[in-house]
Amino acid sequence: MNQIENVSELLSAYMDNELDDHERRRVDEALTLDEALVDELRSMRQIREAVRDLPLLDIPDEFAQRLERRSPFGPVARPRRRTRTRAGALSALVSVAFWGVLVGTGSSTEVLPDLAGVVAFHTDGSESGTEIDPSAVDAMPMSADGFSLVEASRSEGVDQYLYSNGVDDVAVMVQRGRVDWDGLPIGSRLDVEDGAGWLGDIDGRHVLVVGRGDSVYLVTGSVVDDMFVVSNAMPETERSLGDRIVDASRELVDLVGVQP
Amino acid sequence: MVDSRRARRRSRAQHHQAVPTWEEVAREHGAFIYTVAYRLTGNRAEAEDLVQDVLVRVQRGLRTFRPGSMQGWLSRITTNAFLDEVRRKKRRPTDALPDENPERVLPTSDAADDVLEQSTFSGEVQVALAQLSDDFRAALVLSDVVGLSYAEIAEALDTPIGTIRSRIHRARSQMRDVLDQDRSAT
Repeated sequence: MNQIENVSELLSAYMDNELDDHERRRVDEALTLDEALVDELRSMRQIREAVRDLPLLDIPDEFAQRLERRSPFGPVARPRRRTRTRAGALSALVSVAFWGVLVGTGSSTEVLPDLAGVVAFHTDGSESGTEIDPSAVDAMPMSADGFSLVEASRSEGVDQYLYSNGVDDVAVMVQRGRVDWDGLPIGSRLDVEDGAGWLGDIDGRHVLVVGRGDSVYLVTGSVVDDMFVVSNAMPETERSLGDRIVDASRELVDLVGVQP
Repeated sequence: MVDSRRARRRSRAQHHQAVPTWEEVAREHGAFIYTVAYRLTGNRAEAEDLVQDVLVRVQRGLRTFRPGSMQGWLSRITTNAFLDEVRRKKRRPTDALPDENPERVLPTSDAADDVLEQSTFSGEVQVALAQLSDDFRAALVLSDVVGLSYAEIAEALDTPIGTIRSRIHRARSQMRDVLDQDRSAT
């Protein structure tokens, strides 16, 4: 009797293929001798299948909306409204931060940097052509250690630059204002001399934000090293912004495991 | 020029598929996280709290995520967050009432979803699942909802594999007893 009870304890692992050969043979033999054990195995299988068949649940709409209201990024004006599906509703929590809208936060100069904008420009904007608006390049170098400026434009107070080394692209956006650091999504905060920095991932791309004075610099690319190469070439008055970013990037070795 | 640039972008996109962004995780696996959370907690309110906790942990953890089974990784985070909360409640059994969340106190239409599900067979299974002890339920959910092996569950819960084997079996036995009682009562 005790032996049968002991074998009974093995039934779950038996049907889950989690027994060693010796244990499996023991159960196989017991099953040929004890019909009650066969019934128990059948009932345990039914329980396992019942749990396995529990449906995948939709995220309740009300919950998704509540997440959005309580998101750490605060209310953000949306340039357009998308119809959300139930399955996609949760993404509102994070996507709301990526609309890339400048938002006043009490101070006329404090802005949420246009994270989505710099990524979109890096991803799609360069497909439109390679024209360079001369008025937009007065403050930026034409080349930087293998990278050449292939596109530049100025629009609504934001300068956009695309650099390429023939293999990879790095996009830079410069806008006026002070960074609303608290409004940024969670990322790596960097100590930058005479300023501050932030590095995070947006839409699968690294985005570096550096605030200095009244300017916000956004750099994005697929390779962090490339981003620092381009950043290093940015002109500055005293100590180059690039130097400061490189200093800060040393911290990234520990944070994200990349070499500056 | 444009074609080569597109090709380069495709290549980069493939590289980035290995480690998804937090937004992608939430979009593509949000329902999975919510489902595991609901199966573990047994009610919508606690599942929602757990999902929020998990999303924060996911964002912190993505930096160290190594390509592999995303759902396995997420389920481990969800289960450990659940068990952490269970342990926290045991240490402080008398939680203060939530200050700005009346739906935690007052019944709302949210509860109707729970009631509706409980009226179906899967609802009965969920009720039986909810009656298990937290440790038993965690092991069973990881096994039968998520599909982890016993060894993976043992690693996720930092528990000997023999204990996991015993918990899963006893969990199924208890569920069978509960469901049998329900059937005989009706």
